[in-house]
Amino acid sequence: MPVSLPRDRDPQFSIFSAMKTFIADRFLRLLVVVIGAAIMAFALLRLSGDPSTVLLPIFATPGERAQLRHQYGLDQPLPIQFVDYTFSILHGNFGQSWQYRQPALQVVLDRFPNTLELAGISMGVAVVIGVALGVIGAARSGGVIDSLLTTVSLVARAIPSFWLGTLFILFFSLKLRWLPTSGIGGLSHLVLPALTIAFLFIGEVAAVVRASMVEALHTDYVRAALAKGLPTRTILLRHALRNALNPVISVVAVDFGVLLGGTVIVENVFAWPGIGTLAVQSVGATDYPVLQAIVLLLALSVAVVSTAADIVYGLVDPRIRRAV
Amino acid sequence: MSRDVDAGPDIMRRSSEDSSEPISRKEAIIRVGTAVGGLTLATSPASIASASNLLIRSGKTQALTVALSSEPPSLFQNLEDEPQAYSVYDAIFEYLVKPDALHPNAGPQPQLAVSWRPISAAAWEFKLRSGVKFHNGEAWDAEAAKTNFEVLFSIKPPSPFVSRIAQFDHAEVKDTYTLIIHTKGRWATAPIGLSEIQMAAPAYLKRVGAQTFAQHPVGTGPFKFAQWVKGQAITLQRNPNYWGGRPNLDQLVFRGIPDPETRFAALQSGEIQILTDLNVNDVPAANRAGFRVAHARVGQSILISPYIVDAQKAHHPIGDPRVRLAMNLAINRPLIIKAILNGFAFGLGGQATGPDAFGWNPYIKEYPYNPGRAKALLAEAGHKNGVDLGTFWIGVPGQFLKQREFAEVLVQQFAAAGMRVHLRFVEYATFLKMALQEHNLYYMHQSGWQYYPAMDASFALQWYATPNFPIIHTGLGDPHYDKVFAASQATFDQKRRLSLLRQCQRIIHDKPGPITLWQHVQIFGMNKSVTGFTPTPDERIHFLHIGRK
Repeated sequence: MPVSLPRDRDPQFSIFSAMKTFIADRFLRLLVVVIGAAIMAFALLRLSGDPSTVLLPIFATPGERAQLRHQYGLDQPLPIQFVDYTFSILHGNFGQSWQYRQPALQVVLDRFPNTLELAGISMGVAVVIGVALGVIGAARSGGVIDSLLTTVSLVARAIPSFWLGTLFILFFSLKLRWLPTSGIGGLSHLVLPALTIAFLFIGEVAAVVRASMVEALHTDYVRAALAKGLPTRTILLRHALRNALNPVISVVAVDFGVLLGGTVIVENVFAWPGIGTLAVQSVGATDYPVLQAIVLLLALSVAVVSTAADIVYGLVDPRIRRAV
Repeated sequence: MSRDVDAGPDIMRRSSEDSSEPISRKEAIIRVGTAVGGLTLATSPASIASASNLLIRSGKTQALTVALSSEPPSLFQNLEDEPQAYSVYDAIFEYLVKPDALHPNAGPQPQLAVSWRPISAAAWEFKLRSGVKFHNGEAWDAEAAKTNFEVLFSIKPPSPFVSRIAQFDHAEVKDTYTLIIHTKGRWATAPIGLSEIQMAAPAYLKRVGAQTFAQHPVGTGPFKFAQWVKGQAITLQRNPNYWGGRPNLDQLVFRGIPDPETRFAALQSGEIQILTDLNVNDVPAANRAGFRVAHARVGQSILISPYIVDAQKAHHPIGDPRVRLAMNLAINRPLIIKAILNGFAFGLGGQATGPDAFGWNPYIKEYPYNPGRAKALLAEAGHKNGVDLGTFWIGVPGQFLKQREFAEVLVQQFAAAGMRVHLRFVEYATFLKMALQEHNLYYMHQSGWQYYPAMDASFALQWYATPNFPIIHTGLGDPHYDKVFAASQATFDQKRRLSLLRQCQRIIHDKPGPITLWQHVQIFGMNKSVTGFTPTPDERIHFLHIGRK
């Protein structure tokens, strides 16, 4: 009776063809998410009411309101509006910002790199510190240090970012006078907001790494490595950690969306000119075209990061590929 | 190194030195890393913007950094009415006439126009200032003014200022320095109406369009636009050819810092020298830390106005003047101003504006706090057991000082006098949406009637005249009021106009129309090195005479 090998052990099997299917599947999912986000953004704009209430003075006449609605195509039936809307966004046209009187997408894209920079560095800091804490906690599992780190991680996750940010400003900017209080302009401006955001995620990354590491440290290959007399450091970093890092990819991917949303408060505290502060201003000014562009851009970013994480996960873990 | 507050000058020197020497990326990373780890003190450079300012200052060039509560979306007021940016606009631009915010009874003052007079029932003549040039060298003349009005009316969607000068018909050039403004009928207040329209470099404005212009503005003001790094800072430089004298400052920098605590921290750290909208709770700390705190009563009255949608169908207790009077009598204004607002508010004297407006009536007294009389009035109006007044719509907290706190106290004081009110915070646009959808209700909404920069009561009183369209309005529906107000708008005689506006205030108080509260205050915090600062009620900082010692 012929023995059937797992697909990736089959000599006829190519990792590239498997990944091609896998990637195609993920891109299809990404497309569905983006289309869903576009429909939601369209619906939100329509549900939010008549823009003439915002754009025109309160005592504007019905004629003036009708003229404005006609100008924005809001007097058309909804299906036609949706077709126009889809056609426009496919051409990168999200309409004019009501507040800035510039193309909404341009307004958002001017700020987006700042948010990405802050989010990326924050996540990087969170991963580096979180992994280190997780490894130390797992290595001292059940001990005083482990308990201390677990407590610190929990506290870090529980602290509201606006409060922590203010505390950092008081300490690092006013007491020690090391760093500027706010704004953008160099690496020194990035430290406090990045640390504030990173604090939210350090605990989570540490907890995930610790749990995976504890599990990995009880596996046969670690026992074998111990039996071989390998140094603890090598076992921890080269054997256990490598396998324990996979869940971190998932955490980073999921948290990236949370992080992009979470920058709203921190950006406001540190006057960081990203899409968080823009979103707050746009809500205040009921600038729906900008809000629509922000919603879509964020959805796209989260979907792209999730897809990228899935692909990386698929590359490093054959079980995921096989699941397609 | 010192860690106390005396470290300021030390840091200033270090920042200046640091900024003159470029650092490598590796070194920068090491510095930040060590700073984060707490292994070294003060090796990281302070804000680039503040460092450059300090460098300029040490080089005998005067610079000033101002923190606003948000970065303006554009730098051209004709395009976007953004109160936070008024100070930036006014540093760059000028107007035909300029109201004297501190002396409203003096009437509008000459700026780019030197004199003006009505030449017929539907035309005003403005004699323009000669020898003035825009920052780009274009000449200021009647043709430039005419072009500005043409561009203003061509902006799509319409400029917010178009509706404010609805009686403007067209401009005509009589000669190089004489402009005729033709109006739709008698427009006695044309000079103050036109005092909000900025004059921009005409050829450049026409060439690039209003949107592009708003990113790189060119005016005739004491400061000229230098640079706008979005999200960082707007930098203006002194206009060396300014017709009105030499500004003291060489450079002005504006930063948008939304969080009030961060703004205050930036002042304390020396990154900025003036901040707007200091949190009232931070005033004692600012005083203790040696900063100067100044406050200006803003030309804006805070009231609760009954908004009416289709008065014929509306049936609501606040439609009854006795109920509105009861509401006015139920409020203990001095207590709220003292206990909630820490004294940072001023009474309106039972009128639609504060005493700093042309047209305020000194013979009217503030409504006394008299809940007993309020209850009696309610009983007289058929509400012996109290009355349910429905929802009190109030703007999202943040628009006015301690908005949430005072609104909650108001609700309690109404309840103590037998008037049950449900408080609801809502964005203005949402309120309008709901009001426009439902056509048989009265709405009780907190309003802030702005009457600056003209400081003329007609800007607030206009909202109580009966409108000529059947949409949501705050009109009293009083023919006598309508007649008196219309007369005040038509007369060219200032004494008569003053008398008519005072009559309007009397009608509003006696009827009564709105539930009057108090006058808004803006609080500034500044470094003691700042000189020549005068708080004014127009939410502007006037930089011409401001300097640093």
